[in-house]
Amino acid sequence: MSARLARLALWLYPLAYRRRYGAEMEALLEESGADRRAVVDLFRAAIGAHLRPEPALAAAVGREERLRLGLGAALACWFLFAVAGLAFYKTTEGKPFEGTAGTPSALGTLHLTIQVLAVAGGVAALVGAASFGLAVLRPRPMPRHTLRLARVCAAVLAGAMVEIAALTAAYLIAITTAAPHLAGEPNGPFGTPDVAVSLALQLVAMILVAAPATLVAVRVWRGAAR
Amino acid sequence: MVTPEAVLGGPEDACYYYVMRYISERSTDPGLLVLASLAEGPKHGYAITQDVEEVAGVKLGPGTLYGALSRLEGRDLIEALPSEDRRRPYRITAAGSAALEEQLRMLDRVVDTGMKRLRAAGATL
Repeated sequence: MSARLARLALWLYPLAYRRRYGAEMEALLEESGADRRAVVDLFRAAIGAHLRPEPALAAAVGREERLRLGLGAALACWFLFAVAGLAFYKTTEGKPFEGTAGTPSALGTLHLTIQVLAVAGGVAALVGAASFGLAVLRPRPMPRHTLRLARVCAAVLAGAMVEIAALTAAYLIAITTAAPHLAGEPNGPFGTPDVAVSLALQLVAMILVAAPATLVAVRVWRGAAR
Repeated sequence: MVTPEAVLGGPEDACYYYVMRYISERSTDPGLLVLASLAEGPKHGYAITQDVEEVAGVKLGPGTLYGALSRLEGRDLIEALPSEDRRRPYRITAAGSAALEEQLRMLDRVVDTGMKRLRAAGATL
């Protein structure tokens, strides 16, 4: 079990890092064994390798490849974010939650804004996926306009995720303070838990996905600018 | 196996030992330990972890070790040597030796000053 987790942790390292040190790290794990402490150390160091990339390793992955991986990661983040978004939609289903049946109008405004951002993000994901597909099918190098579109899509995706997460937090505060009777409703995705708990869980999931997506978008932008 | 409890005599002393060891492990720079290990001669990853554990009592995890190796290599303090298998040996460079010497001199000054101050405060060392 620990050996499998260790291999998974190795897979989570940045590509440049895996190319340079992956084989050596595998050999080390085979020699020293992969206990629980080693697995935890690998996961912690993998996060560190993403947050503090070693500039000298950057040459191990080409600019084109880095951009493709960056856009792919942004799209994957959006897919995961959409799951939390779907849970938000199911949790706030029904007129009272949309602020249209005598409940605070702030709820309705927040609900509508979140929907608009979700549509913007969805369109960016579709366009981004299309440009990504075209870039893969076309001969290298990636056309300049495809590059531009790809980085704009990654930025829109990350921006939509951050804003939706912020608005979900605002919605959670608004519903618990201004409409506590609605916050206590058992209206979660599966009928339970109640709305406030369900929204708090969705918010945590959204933040966990939006943070790496933002990091990826910044790197795609910087990578394209080089 | 000799336990710290058996050597130190009491649970309080053993607790103190574990706390100090924990602090020591957390505050020990893996880069410094790796450089000190490579000062003896070229070694591959597994040999470095074995040496560091033996000398400093610190077990470097694989992630920590390669994090340190990548940083040191990026700053040209160590260099990778050619290898026929997956176990690539590393060698300390001239810049690495100079950096290690500087850090050890600084640590030596800290130890020296700390000991003098403890003696002045009446500690029997």
